[in-house]
Amino acid sequence: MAIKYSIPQQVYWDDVNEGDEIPSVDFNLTIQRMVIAAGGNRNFSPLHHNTRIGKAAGAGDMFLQNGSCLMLWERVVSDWCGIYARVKKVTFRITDFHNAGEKIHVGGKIARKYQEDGLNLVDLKMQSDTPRKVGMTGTVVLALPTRSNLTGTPRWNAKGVAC
Amino acid sequence: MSASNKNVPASRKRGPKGDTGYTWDDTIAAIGKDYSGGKVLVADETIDESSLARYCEVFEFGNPIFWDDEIAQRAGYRAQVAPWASIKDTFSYGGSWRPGEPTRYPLDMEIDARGANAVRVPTEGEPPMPPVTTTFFTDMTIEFFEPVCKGDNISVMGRRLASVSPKTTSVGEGAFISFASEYFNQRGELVARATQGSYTYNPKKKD
Repeated sequence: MAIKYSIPQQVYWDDVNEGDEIPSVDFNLTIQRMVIAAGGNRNFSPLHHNTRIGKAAGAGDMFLQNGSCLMLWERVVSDWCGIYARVKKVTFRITDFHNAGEKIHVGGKIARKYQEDGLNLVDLKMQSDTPRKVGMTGTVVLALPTRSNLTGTPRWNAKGVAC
Repeated sequence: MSASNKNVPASRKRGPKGDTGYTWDDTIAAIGKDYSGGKVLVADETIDESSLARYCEVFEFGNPIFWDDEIAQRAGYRAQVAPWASIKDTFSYGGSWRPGEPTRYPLDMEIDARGANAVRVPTEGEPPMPPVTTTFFTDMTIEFFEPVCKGDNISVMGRRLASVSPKTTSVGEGAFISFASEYFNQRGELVARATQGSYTYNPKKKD
């Protein structure tokens, strides 16, 4: 069977360095997009699809739910890392509303490169910016393949140790 | 850890709880206890190609492991991969109505009112704590284990009190509290562990 999608360039642990920035993405949060996000992620709180409710609650408009904010990070990370990398852990804190009608800028930087429990890891320090200020910060811990095992997607057990 | 918003909007606040017979020391003493009632929440859907498409298309996830079985298998997965941001809430969703239940949208419900939705974490009771009126989300940590793929069905277990840090902040007096839950696939394999934090407090009185 023919493969329908092109396979993106792979990022290898050997090739990255602390301080490297990963490509950023800007997201346009139209109302239609907010509605599709609510349907796609099953979060039907009116805060996320109803302007009146969002504003009455203190936001500038309807606003993205926590999990949807995290989706923006997943887009940025998965666009960059290739098909053989895996996210091991994510930590985040939301510090501003991601309102409908706004453009959110999401980017990241390799804050740490290390090996632990048999895995080759990088800590991506991620940040989402709203038009007003930093909207979300945190870290994505990503396990990368190495050039000695080009197609070896990292795996680990319930204790986080490579297997 | 500190509250980052001086004026926390009503949208993010949850209702009152607690009892005058308790202090934050009682809450701290309860760290490690499970407040899920032993219940297991089973998602009402088995992850399929169309639900993955609906999830990925909104923010235009282009990595082909989310879209194509062959590419996902080439990368070592069983099938199309569920994005990691979807595991905690999206594919653990239990649905909002079933035949035989009353309508979620009675005729006297106002246009902006909210119909009842499924909970996403099994909950029974709360830890002992002094009276507090308000709670809002602060942070989350999710660890991932066995990959989640097309064909999987997620269950959620546990609501363990993970941490308690009493603190007075710019918005009021209370404590940072976090709960941890675990997510499993239909084979009983651990797929994720999520710890969600919130600030539970009494707002400062305005002068």
